[in-house]
Amino acid sequence: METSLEVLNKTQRVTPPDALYNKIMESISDIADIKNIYASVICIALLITINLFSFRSYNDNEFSSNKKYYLDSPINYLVYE
Amino acid sequence: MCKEKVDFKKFYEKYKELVFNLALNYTANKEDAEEIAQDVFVTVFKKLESFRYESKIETWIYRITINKSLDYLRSKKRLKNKFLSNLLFFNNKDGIDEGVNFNHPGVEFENKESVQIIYKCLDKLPNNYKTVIVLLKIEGEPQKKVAEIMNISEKAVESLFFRAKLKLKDLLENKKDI
Repeated sequence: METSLEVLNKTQRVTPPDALYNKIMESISDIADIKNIYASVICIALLITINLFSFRSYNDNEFSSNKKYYLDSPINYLVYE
Repeated sequence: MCKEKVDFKKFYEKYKELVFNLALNYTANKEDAEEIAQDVFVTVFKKLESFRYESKIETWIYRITINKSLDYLRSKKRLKNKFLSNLLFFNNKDGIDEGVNFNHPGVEFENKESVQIIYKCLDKLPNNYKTVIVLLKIEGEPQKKVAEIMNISEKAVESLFFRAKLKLKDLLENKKDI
């Protein structure tokens, strides 16, 4: 048994390949690109939501302001044809 | 960004051998070790700024590399089993001959066969047994450092190594019978 483990002791250190650093940097820039894509998609989705919301609230305000105007008017102010 | 790159390059130069050799000693395969080392350095790059220096940076790198290596081996084994059961309808429960795809450039030619057999058996050991053997016997780290990396006491490392040796001996004997 000890002989077996002694064989493991003889394992030599290996120098990593030179291309490894470039591969790592490529992976890191890929991650940055993916992050940018996600950020852009989120921004676009947010802009669309804000636009839709503001358009809807603008319509609601138009309607409610008109409604208020009619409700607050004295009854004799209305003109009937 | 340029400064980060320069710092990271220095960091890489300092720890590349540690990471690559540790991954190589887990997987016994050069290509797998390269993939793990790549993954380790990407993780380190992402988390280096949030590192709180509660432990030594070297210990932190050891832990990341060990976890990545074990995860990699686990996923590889799972894929292999799935592939076998899907294609061949064959369930290898013992799995002793499945082993690792041995390609360790640090092993001398005359020892290659015996080391290959040991690695096949090491692959069957529980993760903490494998870790203690890799760190103490292959990496040649002192017991104190192994205890620090594994976050256990020195006594625990000693007893873990003893049990790991017994288990490995048992596996090697069974292997010889086959």
